[in-house]
Amino acid sequence: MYIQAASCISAQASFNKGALTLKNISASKERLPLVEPDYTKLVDPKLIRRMSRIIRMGVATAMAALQDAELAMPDAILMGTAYGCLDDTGSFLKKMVENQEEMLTPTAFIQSTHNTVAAQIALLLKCHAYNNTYVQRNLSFQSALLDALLLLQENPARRVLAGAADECTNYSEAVLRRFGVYKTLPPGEGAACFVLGAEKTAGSLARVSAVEWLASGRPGAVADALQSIMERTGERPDLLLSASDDPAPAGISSVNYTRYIGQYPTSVGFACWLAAALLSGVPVKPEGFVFPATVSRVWLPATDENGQLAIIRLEAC
Amino acid sequence: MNRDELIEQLKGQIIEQLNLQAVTPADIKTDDPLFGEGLGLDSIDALELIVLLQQHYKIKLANAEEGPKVFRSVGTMADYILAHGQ
Repeated sequence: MYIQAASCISAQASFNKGALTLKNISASKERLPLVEPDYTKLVDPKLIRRMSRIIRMGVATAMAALQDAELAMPDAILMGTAYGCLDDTGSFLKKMVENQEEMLTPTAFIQSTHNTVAAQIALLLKCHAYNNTYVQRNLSFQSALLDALLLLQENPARRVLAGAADECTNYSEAVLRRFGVYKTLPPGEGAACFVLGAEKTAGSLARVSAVEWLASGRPGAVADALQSIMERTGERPDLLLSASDDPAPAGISSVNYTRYIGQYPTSVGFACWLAAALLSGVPVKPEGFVFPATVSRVWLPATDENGQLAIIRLEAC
Repeated sequence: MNRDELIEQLKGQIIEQLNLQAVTPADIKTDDPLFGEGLGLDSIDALELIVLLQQHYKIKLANAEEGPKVFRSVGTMADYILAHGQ
């Protein structure tokens, strides 16, 4: 499966094309502001007024990726999100309490579901194709990507739009801070969308060689899983992009990418965008880390609290 | 509150309720149609306007068929509020 186009909105200037320096924001304690594009250039301003931040991010990255891939109508829309449209959900619940379950405004209700982003993309495109949203905590994007792989195996002529989005709100930040989630790195948010196809196109950025799933339920599982995959496939990554500081197998360069964008459940969407950028030769310089001189294989390991483990394997194409 | 004051208040409330970014009260003409042309509102906005009437003026639109007449313009909304408001 090839990444034919990619777009990403994050706390870094990832939406812009070309060379990028990633600022290290790990010392910050506050929620990181997004570097957002002018949405009115991508979406009809009349429609933007009803879109909360996560919908804007998701729709903008989807439109930009489709534009780059010169694809007017995808054959499927797949999104991954852990928390969905938190802002609209919060606003709806607040009004429900304040107005004693009466006089509730429809917009917040309609847009408080997890699948609103994928639905909005479909509505804008008038796309009646397969539309699915995966809600699997921080493995949501990997689930969407796996579905894309299966769809393309089933019919290689398809071209699929897959992405990830999560937003941080005052409510969610306060609750997650109480749980100790942001002790080491600040809260973040973002979205990334990819056009995927079975065929390599002239503009293809990278090849997704596999999305591997394992269930281990024990610490240290990532290093063991990586070792096992390396032995089985005979392949070795040049770089690991991970949302944790877990040690990598000896001799493999590894960076915790959340020190550049903050923590959010589907941040692996940013990692996938970053990997595609590196593999396609975009010069990216992260502060406080040096990428290997040659990067032709990047793996993205991720785990959830239940010991589920997913590894996205990408390579240059 | 007289009709003109009510119309000005309504314009502000409509902008806020419908999150009409970049629209000012001066952009909304009192007798211009709210739906289709003019502001180009849609069916979800119609529901928002019904809630607006309930929230701010305690008016419950009992007959759905009245909707198109009541919400034709800011002027017709103001007339309806003056006739039915508490």
